[in-house]
Amino acid sequence: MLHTDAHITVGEMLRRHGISRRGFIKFCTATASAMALPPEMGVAMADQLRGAVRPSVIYLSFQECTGCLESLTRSFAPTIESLIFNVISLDYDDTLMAAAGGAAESARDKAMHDNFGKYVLVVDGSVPTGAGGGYCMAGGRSAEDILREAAKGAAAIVCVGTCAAFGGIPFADPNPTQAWPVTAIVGDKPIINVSGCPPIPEVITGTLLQFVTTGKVPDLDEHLRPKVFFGNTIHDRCYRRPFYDQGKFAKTFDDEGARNGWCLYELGCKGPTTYNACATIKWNGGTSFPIESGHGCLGCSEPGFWDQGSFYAAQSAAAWGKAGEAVPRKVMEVAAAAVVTGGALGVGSAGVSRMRQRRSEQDAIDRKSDGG
Amino acid sequence: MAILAELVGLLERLASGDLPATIDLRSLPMSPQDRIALQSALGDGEVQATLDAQGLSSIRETRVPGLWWVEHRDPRGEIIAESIEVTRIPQILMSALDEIGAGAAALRAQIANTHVA
Repeated sequence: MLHTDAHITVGEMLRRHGISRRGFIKFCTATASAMALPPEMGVAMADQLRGAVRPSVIYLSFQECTGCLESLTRSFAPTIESLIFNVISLDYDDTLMAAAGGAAESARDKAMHDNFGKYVLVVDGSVPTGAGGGYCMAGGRSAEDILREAAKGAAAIVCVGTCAAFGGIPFADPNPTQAWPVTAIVGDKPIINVSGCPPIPEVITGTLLQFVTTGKVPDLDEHLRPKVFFGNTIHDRCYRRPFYDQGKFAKTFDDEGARNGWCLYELGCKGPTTYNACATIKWNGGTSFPIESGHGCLGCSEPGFWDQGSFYAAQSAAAWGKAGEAVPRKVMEVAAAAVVTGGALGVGSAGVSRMRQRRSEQDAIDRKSDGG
Repeated sequence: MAILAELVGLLERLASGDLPATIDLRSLPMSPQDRIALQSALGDGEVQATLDAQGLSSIRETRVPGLWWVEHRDPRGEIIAESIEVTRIPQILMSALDEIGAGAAALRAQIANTHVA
């Protein structure tokens, strides 16, 4: 997957792998459809990219579990999503590259030097700052140090996964490594958050493809996530929504309601406050998503999802469901850190998020009291 | 069905020299019943093509000339894109100029090798 000949076009790379223009049009058409772009964009995107030199991508892995990279590379083989590796020049990824040690580090330095100001920096994992950065080091340097240096020459930073986007599980209370999201470290670059634990592979691919085709950051929500994928809640697009509207809820995982496929809200489903595309794009090549398998949404694409109380408590009873409750401490910490370090994440975004959660909860209460 | 009226408008524009257009069927809130109703309203035409590239695709002209039902599947057989194209011929069916050039060169090399042998 890692190629040293960085200056060949996408079209040439596709030819070498036996992928015709028609096959590539299919990939671009499917991506355009998933991103709700005009359908004619598929052919235009394919023809434009085939003539372009592959953009350099540097993928840094910090405090993470590699689930995000697994999501992208291991879904089912061969996948149409894997075509993304013909479109980009993945110049550094310490998990995928054959080189190791000094050779790997110098490949990254060369790519950063040769493509200064133009490369896409993908970050996977949170950045631990405790113990002088000693919790996550590579080549004798801390994650924070590597990130700050790599960010300088990046055209944009794509944070893949909830750890890079919002701190994720390492950031969860008591945050023993003093982990932070990228937004708390880097404040002067365009940042696109592709959250999820892990994110949906088509969402990662679509975001990268959109950026390398247009060179522009897509429309983002207040958490810097692409609106095309994170514009609706899971609840908005859930096929079980009619049961919610009728007040039909499963009370346990093996009662009549569960067997009838009723709404999982009372079993802790976080769908009403979780913005992601699981209910539409789905997982495993469009097979299903957690609610289809009978389990509520964990809210994994939202900030602080690990610290919101039990996954199995209804939102109206859980930590983030009580009207009038203060903004969760964790969210405040991120906001404060962002301000201190000049990061892009502000108190405003936490406040908006909180208001959205309250609106959603009030909506739920109203519906229930209507007997609706 | 509102989509039929939209298709008529797009066909009339194409017939009078306007640009081709595409409707992404996956972007419409269609139930399986709506889909079947649309398919039966448009019927099957004279051309049915199968494309074998990164999975199979079916490209069929409907009973209405200029309306093409295009369905792309990935290598696992899952539908990844589905649209109705309003055009004289879908672009994906046309051979690409750079690939024609490469194909000519490959065929020329093949002929040369044959003569040597």
